[in-house]
Formats: sequence, C-alpha cells, structure tokens
Amino acid sequence: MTPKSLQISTPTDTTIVLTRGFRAPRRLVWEAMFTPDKMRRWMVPPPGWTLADCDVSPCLAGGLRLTWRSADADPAMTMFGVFTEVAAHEAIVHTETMVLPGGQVVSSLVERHEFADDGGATLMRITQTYESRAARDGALESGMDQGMEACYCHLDALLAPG
Amino acid sequence: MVSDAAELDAVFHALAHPARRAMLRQLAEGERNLTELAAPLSMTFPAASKHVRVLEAASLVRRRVAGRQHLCSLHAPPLREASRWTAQFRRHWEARFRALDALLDELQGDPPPEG
Repeated sequence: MTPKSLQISTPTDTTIVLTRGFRAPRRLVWEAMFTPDKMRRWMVPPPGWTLADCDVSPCLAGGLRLTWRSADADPAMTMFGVFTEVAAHEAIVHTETMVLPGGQVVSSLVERHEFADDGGATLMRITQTYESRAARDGALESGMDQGMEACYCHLDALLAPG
Repeated sequence: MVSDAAELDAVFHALAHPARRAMLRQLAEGERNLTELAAPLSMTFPAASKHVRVLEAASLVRRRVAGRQHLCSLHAPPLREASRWTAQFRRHWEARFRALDALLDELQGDPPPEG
C-alpha cells in the first residue's frame, strides 16, 4: 500500500495543515518525530550547518530546544518551545519559536501533530497556527525557516533516488 | 509573472472558507448560476452571493449577467499562482518526510526490540 502523499492546505487565515502517510505504525512515527537521536536523522541541516543541540521532552510542560551552528555563528539559529498537550502516539501540541542570534524572532507558532491508523500505515496531520495571517503567509512563502531556505534544493537532490 | 502579495492574500482568504471551496469544486465542472451554487450548501441567495463576491475579489470567479441570471465561471490562473508560491514550502516538508520515510523503513528492518 502506498501511503498518502503530502497535502498542504490553509483552512483558515492563520493556519497551515499538512497531512502525509507513512509506512509504519503510529508508535514508530511518533518516536521518529520526537526522539532526539531519531530527529537528527530526518531534520537534516542545511549544508554548512550542524544540528548542535536537540533536547526534546515530549511530556506535558516538557521542553523543546534545538540549536544549529555554522562556520560563522554558534548558534546560527535556536528553536525552543514547550509541549502543552500530550496523548502518547495520538496527539501532541507544542509551541515553537525560531530565534536568530541577535534575538530576532523568525517565526512563532503552535504546532499540533495528530496520528491516525490508516490500514497498516499512519496518517500524520500537522496543524500550524501562526499569530497572524501575515506570519502564516510569510512561513508559506519562505519555506518555513528563512535562514535555511537555500538548502532544501540541495537536499532534494541528495534524497532523489539514484 | 510575479504576483502581487495583495492578490495572493485575496486568493488565500477566498480559499479559507469551506463554502467557497465547495463553490469552486462545483464551478470546476462548469458554469453555474447563484441558485445552483447556493443549493448544495443549504444557503440563502444573499449568503451565497456574498461568498461569490469574495471569490470574484480574488479573481477566482468571473460573473456574467444573462437576462435575470447571474452566471458564474471558474477562473483558475490565480490558483496556479498560489500553488507555485507555496512550492518552496512543499519542497521543504517533502524533503523532511522523505528522510523520515527512510528512517522508518530502517527502523522496521531492524530486529524488533525485546519485550
């Protein structure tokens, strides 16, 4: 069975919803999403960047802190947040703020992940809620992290079958 | 063509309401009058008319008057522009999810943990 392909929609002025199927049970997808050593495998950093810290405690009021460094800056970017709702292997909500070294906030949002059985696969639904429509549109336009935007073309090439 | 941010705002605003998305799906099948657009949504004529005006403002719908009827048709180019605009966002997430696919395949290929 082929898992469902990525769907992106904007059901309200301040939200983005992403849905995607994965060929794995919910528990495994959850662990891959929120266990630091596994997160390091799929949150591939931009070329020249390193994911330095990846501290994640997916429990109620648990924290989320990731930092990236580059040849020029350490940290080059920091992401932090707090888990505000956790139902293991079903639904999890966290805040997420991306900050540049100067303290400039790149983005601030609430991210909700929901996991549903879909045959033998898992359907993951991510709902991102931004503070304003302008912030939401900015995220859509930039590819989420302005500082990381350039890398993903390279990443596409790396991941292409061949 | 580089799209004006205000035009994209109008398109995303228009797409943000389920009734308007339902109207666009109907119009994808062909021209409809306001009564036909309102009927499946159990909506009054003025309410439907208001939604059509939002779609018109986003240039997603064109309206022509034929006798006493207002006939609406889909104008798709702004939808294509909006989807092109979000292509970078999509590439970013698709790249992440493909890396996640590879990880999940690998995890399931490993011997199951004891217990």
